[in-house]
Formats: sequence, C-alpha cells, structure tokens
Amino acid sequence: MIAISTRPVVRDETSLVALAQVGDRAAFEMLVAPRIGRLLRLTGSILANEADASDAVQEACLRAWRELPRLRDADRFEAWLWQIAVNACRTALRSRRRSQVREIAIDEMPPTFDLRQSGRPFDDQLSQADLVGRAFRRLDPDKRSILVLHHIDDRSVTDIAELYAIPTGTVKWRLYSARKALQRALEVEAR
Amino acid sequence: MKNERPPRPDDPMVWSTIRKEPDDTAVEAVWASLSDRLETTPQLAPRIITWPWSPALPGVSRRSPRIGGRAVTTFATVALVALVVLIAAVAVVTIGRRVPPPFGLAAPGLIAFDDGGDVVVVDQDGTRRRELTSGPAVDVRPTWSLDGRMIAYWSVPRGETVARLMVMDADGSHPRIAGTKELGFDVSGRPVVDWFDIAWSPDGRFLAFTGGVIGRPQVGIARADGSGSSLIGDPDLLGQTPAWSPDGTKLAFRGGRADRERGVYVMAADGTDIVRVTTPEQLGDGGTFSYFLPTWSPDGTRLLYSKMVGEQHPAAAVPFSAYRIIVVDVVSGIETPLSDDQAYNDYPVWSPDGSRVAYMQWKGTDPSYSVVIGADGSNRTTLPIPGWNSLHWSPDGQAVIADATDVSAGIVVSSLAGRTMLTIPLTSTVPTAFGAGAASWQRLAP
Repeated sequence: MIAISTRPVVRDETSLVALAQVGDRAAFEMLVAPRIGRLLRLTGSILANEADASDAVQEACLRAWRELPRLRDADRFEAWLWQIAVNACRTALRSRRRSQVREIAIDEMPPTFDLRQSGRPFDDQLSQADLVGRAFRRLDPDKRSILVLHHIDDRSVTDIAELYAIPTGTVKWRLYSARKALQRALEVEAR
Repeated sequence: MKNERPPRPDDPMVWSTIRKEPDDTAVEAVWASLSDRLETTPQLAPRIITWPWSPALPGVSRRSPRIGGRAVTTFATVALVALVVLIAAVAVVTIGRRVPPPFGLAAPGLIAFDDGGDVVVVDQDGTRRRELTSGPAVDVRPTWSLDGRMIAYWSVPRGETVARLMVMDADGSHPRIAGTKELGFDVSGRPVVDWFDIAWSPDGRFLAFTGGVIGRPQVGIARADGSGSSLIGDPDLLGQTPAWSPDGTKLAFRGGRADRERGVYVMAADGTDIVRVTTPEQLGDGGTFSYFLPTWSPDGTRLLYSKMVGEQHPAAAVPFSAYRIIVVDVVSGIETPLSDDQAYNDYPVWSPDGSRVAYMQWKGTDPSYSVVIGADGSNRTTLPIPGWNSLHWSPDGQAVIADATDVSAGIVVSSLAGRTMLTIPLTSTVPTAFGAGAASWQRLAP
C-alpha cells in the first residue's frame, strides 16, 4: 500500500497545489501518489522498459517537486506533470541512444494481450507482438510520445495541444505522421 | 519469421502490445524510492511575480540592494507605477505618430532560417549559406524587420530557463537583447512554452510576442533597441500570437480563457481598449485553440485567421476537425470564409500586396499542399508543399516559402510562376529543443 500523510481538511486539487508550492510535502504526495500508476503506464509504453519507466517517473516527480513554485496556473498541474514525464522519456531515450547499448527486453508480451482470443497460432501471435515492439522502438521519441498520449493514455487532440502549447492542427499532423512512421516500421520489420 | 501481412496502426493488437500496464508492485516500488528522494531534493523558493514583468537576465542581479523600510518600499512602488504609466503613455504617443512604411510588393532579399541552433542566411536560390550566429546558445525563429535591415530571433543560452529576444543587424552584427521570456521550466532542454513568435512593428521600433508562461500566455512588447519590455493587455484574458496593424497603433491576438471569451481580439498598442472582433460561438472540442494566427491585411481593414469549425472528416486517419480560413472585416465584424473545404486549413498569410492569401491544406491523407487564393475568394490554385508548417510569402509575391516540417525535409520554396519547388536543406541532423527550419524572407526596397 502507498502510505500517504492524512490531511483531512484540504481536498480540492487547486488548494493542494497551492500548499505544495510553498513546500507542503504531504500535499505534494496527495497530488502525485494517485497518478503514479498512470505515469508508469505512460512512461512504460513510451520507453518499453520497466526500469527506465520507473526512473522516468521518479525523475518527473522530483522535477515537479523542485519546479512546482514556478507553476503559475494550479489548474494545469496535471498537464504540467504529464509534460514533465514525457520530457523525462525523451531524455531517457536520447541517453539510451547515446550509450549505444542494445537492450533486450524480457517482458515483450503485454499483459493485456490475450493469446487465447485471437485464433491465430501461438507462435504467430508471439511473432506479431515482437514485431510491433521492434517497430515501435524504431520511432523517435516525439513520435512515440504522441502516439502513446493519444492511443494509450487516451488524451484527446485538444489535450495534447494544450500539453505541448501547439495548435490542434499541428497535433493532428504530428499524429498522422507518427502513425505513418509506425506503419512503415511495421512493414520494414515484417520483411 | 516472415509475416505475410504486417499489422496496421488501426489494429487494436498493436496498441495492446505497446501498452505497458504497471502492476501494484511496480507502483509501490516507485513510490518508496520517490519518497526517499523527495527528502533530499530541495524545492525552489516561491517566486514573487513583479509588475511590470521583467525577468532578470542570467548574470544580472534580480533585485536591487535592499535599502529597508516600509516608506522606501511604498515610494519605490509608486515610482515604479508612475514610470510604467509614463512609458505606456510615451509608447502610445510615439507609436501613434509613426507613419508606417509602404507595404506592397518588394524585391526579395536573403532567406533567413534557423539550423542547428544558429541563424543562417542564404540567397534566394538557396546558395551562399552564411551563419549569422554561432555558439552554444540555441538561436531560433529569425524574423526580418519589414525594412529588411534587422533580424529578430529567440536565443536560449544552454542550460538556462530564460529565452532572450534578440535583435541584430542584417549582417549579424550588433546583437542586442530586446526582451526576455521566462520558460516554464527547463526539462531536458525542452521547455514547455512553445510559442516563439515574433512580430515586428511596421516602423521597426517594437517587437510583439507571446509572453508569459504555460497556462498564462500574455502579449509581450519589447523595444527593438533593447531599452525595455513588458507584458500588456489583460492578464486574465490571456493573449497569444500578436500581430501589428499596418499603422502600428493596434495589435490583434488570439485570446480568451473561458469558452465564452475565446476568439480574435484587437487592442491598442499599449494594451488598452481590448475588443473582440469574432463572434462567440460553441466550437466543439477546439477549446483554447479554436482560433489561430490572426494577421492584418496590408490596408488594415481586415483580419485573416484560421478557425475550427468542428466537422469530422470521414476519410481521416486521425480525429479530424476541419479548420476554415476566415477573413473578418475589423469594423463590421462580418466574417467571410475563404475555404469551405472539409479539411485542415491553417497557417494563413497575406501576400505582400494583400491581393491574395496562402494557406496550408490537408485532407487527412497525403499529400498536403498550399492553397493560394484571391483575397475575395477567386482564382484558387494549389502549390506542392510537402509536410505541414508555417507559410511566408516572398516579398515579390511570386513564391511561398514553408518552414521545415522536420530537419530531414528542409525548407520548401514553391514558386507560383513555374510551379517549381526548391528545397533548402538543413545541415543539422536533429532539431533543437525548439525545432529547426523556421524561415523568413528579407524585404528589400521595391
């Protein structure tokens, strides 16, 4: 169980952000703790590596704690935290590229992928899942991020636009480009 | 193993494969480690927002030496307010008296753009590349003044969280700081604030830009000679992508925090007399981003912008809300659509003489292209422009230039006359944290 300091008085998020901004760690914990699971899903989907995803979430939360006094609009805490998490993923992917270490993930099979349901031979399904994983890792950090935000984190185009402070049209174009890149990567990996 | 048919992005299996659901153990492990690290991670001190907004530059003391005493503080506050009022009054008077330079067609000069964090220029055929800035700072979004004598650009010194609005002469000499903008935060070199627009006043003495931080954008004004900058307008209304009227007395911008407020606004150049020129209406999920990029016609009578109209495109591969290009009469408020297509229509820009409009169009499938249309909706034609990004006219109105969609695409110059396309490649292989390949075309005397 996650241990959270009990603060029975303050419940609304804006007040919690205000308290956290002046150094109330318990308020910050109340803000962040319920989001750890979703943040892990986000970073895990982008990074495809559990350890890196864990590190990215920790880095994002620490940076949020450190930088929170600079956040002027408390209503934007969630979008702000997500932006930090996505940026932490970008950093992780770039560091990984620089280190030039090829990582072999051992957890390629997603827990939501039900082998019994598809009707295809077991080996074929494993191969397809592996193919998808390899294709996804061909994408650059920005393409991975926008695909995960939209297709896995279920963020609307408008949400993503506000997250990145860019026009919705640009988000749609980037989403379209990322899907095309993923399609190309799937075709390359299938050869 | 060879697969007969690769999965497609619309196959649910693809996303269920990519989706990584954490289990409770992973969540608790992160939390346990995080709790320990929070103990040793200092929090930044709460910041006091001063007015006028003027973040300190790196290496420059943020505060004056403390003299002490309530009376001194009160006196300083009163003096500061008086100074602001005086500066605003002087600005209004001086801006109002300036005669705007002639608009219309002009000879094309150099093309400036950012590449690898430096500002470079090339001749109009893409040759003779020269770097005007260099060094570790990331310099982006070069924008020529209307007289073609100066270039403004944003510069972010490495590792710092304050972006500098710089102005330099056309040959890259005499760089000076015109204004600053504090970025939301510096995360792995990629700040949250993404609006790095620059709008030169017609007389070349002022620069307007989107200031503020994420969630609180506000129009900023800076003197090109570096003598001061400030945020203007109503801080509660919000304001982005300001554009000068041709006579330099007004600014159009997109603003509005709540649904009922969103739209295109016009205000005096000192931030007063704010008026909405678009009609409020329900715009689906467009939110804050329902209106984009207002720009003035060269004669100052109309505003051009893109507007989300909410229809869903049936053939789109992604969620698709159509945008229209709209011209609105500033006095009457009557809107005239230039595009009624079921498509993304965005990045509209007036031709130098105001006779035509160019904008990007994309229908959810390849290819995208630029549409050039008469300002009255006549003589529609298309130009090949791969990708999707901001457009600019050549000063002679003979070509449209598109910012690079990514570093591999380069900057595209599409000519109206021969329908030819020139690509100016970028030398950098990765974009900076602020993108790459934003272009601007120098305007020379006709």
